[in-house]
Amino acid sequence: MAESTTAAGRHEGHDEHDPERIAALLDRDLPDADRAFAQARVAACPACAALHADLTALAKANLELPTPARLRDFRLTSDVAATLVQGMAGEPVPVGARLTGEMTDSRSRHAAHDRLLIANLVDRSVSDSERARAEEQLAACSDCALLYEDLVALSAATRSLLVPSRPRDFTLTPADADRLRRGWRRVLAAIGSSRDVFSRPLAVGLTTLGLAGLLVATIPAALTGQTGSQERLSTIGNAVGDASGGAGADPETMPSQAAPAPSSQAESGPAAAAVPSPGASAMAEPAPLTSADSGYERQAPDALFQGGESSPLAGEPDGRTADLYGKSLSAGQPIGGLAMIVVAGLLLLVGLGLFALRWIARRLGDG
Amino acid sequence: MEDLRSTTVVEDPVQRRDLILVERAREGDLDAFNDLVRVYQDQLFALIVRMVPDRDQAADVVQEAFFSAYKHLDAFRGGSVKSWLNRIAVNGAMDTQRARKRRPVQPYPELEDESWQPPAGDEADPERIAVLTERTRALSQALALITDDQRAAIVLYDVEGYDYLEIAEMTGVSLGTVKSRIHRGRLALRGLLEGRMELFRG
Repeated sequence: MAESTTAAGRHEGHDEHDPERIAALLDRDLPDADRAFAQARVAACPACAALHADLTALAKANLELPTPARLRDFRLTSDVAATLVQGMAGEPVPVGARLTGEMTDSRSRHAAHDRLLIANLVDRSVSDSERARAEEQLAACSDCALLYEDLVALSAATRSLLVPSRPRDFTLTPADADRLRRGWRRVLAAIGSSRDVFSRPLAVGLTTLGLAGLLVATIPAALTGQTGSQERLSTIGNAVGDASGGAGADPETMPSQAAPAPSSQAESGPAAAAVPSPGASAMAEPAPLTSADSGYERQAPDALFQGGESSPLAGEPDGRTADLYGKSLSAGQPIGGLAMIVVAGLLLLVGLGLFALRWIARRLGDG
Repeated sequence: MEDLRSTTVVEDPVQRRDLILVERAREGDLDAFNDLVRVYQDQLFALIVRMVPDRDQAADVVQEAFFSAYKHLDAFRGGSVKSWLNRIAVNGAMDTQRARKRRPVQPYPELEDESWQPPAGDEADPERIAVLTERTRALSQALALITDDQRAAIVLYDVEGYDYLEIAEMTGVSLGTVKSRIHRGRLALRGLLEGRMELFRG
């Protein structure tokens, strides 16, 4: 009582103290200022100190309370889990997401299993390692075992699935056959056929010929500088034409080999045929004159180099004749080369086209 | 000209018969080709009608397959005539399915009529027929709901007995893709039939 007597004045002061600030001293996260304030109050006020001592003792007793034994196992069975899942339809959080640690059930464990591995086991061609892993999973998980049984049952059911009867006969009528196998279809089918032994060698041959022809026609010209020789020929032809002056051409004495076309016979003089053509190749050389032309062979040089004097070829504008023939002669070489390039290119195209046709026919043959 | 009969050593009498018919058909014998049609039209229709859940469309696919086979008789390079016909028909079925991609599927609306045939030997057991019909209804509906590729792979594997490699060659995809389609398709079927699995168990 002495305490109450001596503390009476202080007790009155304690009534104004905030007990929550003393209780806050037990908080580990109390700010330093609040902690300092409360400690000062505990030091100054015996009632606040007694309150603090009581609260500390209660906290310690709480920690030392004995834990009662667990009355039952709270883990969920798969049936309960299945019921919960069904009952939770529409809930935003799936049940599996709320189970943690040892609270997981067999269903959620099954959800983590490789179900494709079980599906694999149903197939005949599963590998040994896959089979071993799948069988291990089946032995450990009843849900996996059930899944396997269901998949086997579904596979069997698919095999024995009823099918509707065929609605019509699918045999072909002669009209169908005629429509399907006529014209280009038949040709295409024959080209794509494995029995066809002609199209491939033909395609190879044509392609090779085409390539070889292109090489022969282009490479020598590039090597020998054909352009210069053409110009030389043209110059000679023009010179011959100038020299012959008014010498005319006699249609009857003109060699047929030298005439580029029947319609131009009257204009094409034989003069150039008798002119040596040093730059001309074998292809462009006029053919040798026959015995019937021998008289002309003798006369032609005179006619060519007699200027305006009359000659067997008089009466025709020889300059024009010779000039034209000179042009024809000079054009002989490129025309020959060009023709060869065209022919070779055509062969190459046909060969490649045949290859393409075979490929298309085979693709169509696969459906 | 390669003669299939002379260049191919065939021990299987069925395959030998088929090759002879193909050879005759190539020579213009329409009856020989129609003999092939008669031999395989039921099997081919049964295959395609499982892949294309519409009887009329399936019939069109089979007819076109025979037309195509006749057109390209010369492109047949030996081997199994049945596989060759199946390949043509399966390609046609897949084209058809791609074409009707966005159309709603009512699988086998004629399921109730008498056009459905039970497997041979089961005719005498009405109870068995009833179960089979019920199974067929449920399974057909589920099959129509999985993807076309999965359905084709499952049918070719389970019904026709082709292995992964053969299906891969037939459908033009990799072996892994075939495997994946079959397995995922099976799991999808099971998921769709989860509440009705008792129909298939036991």
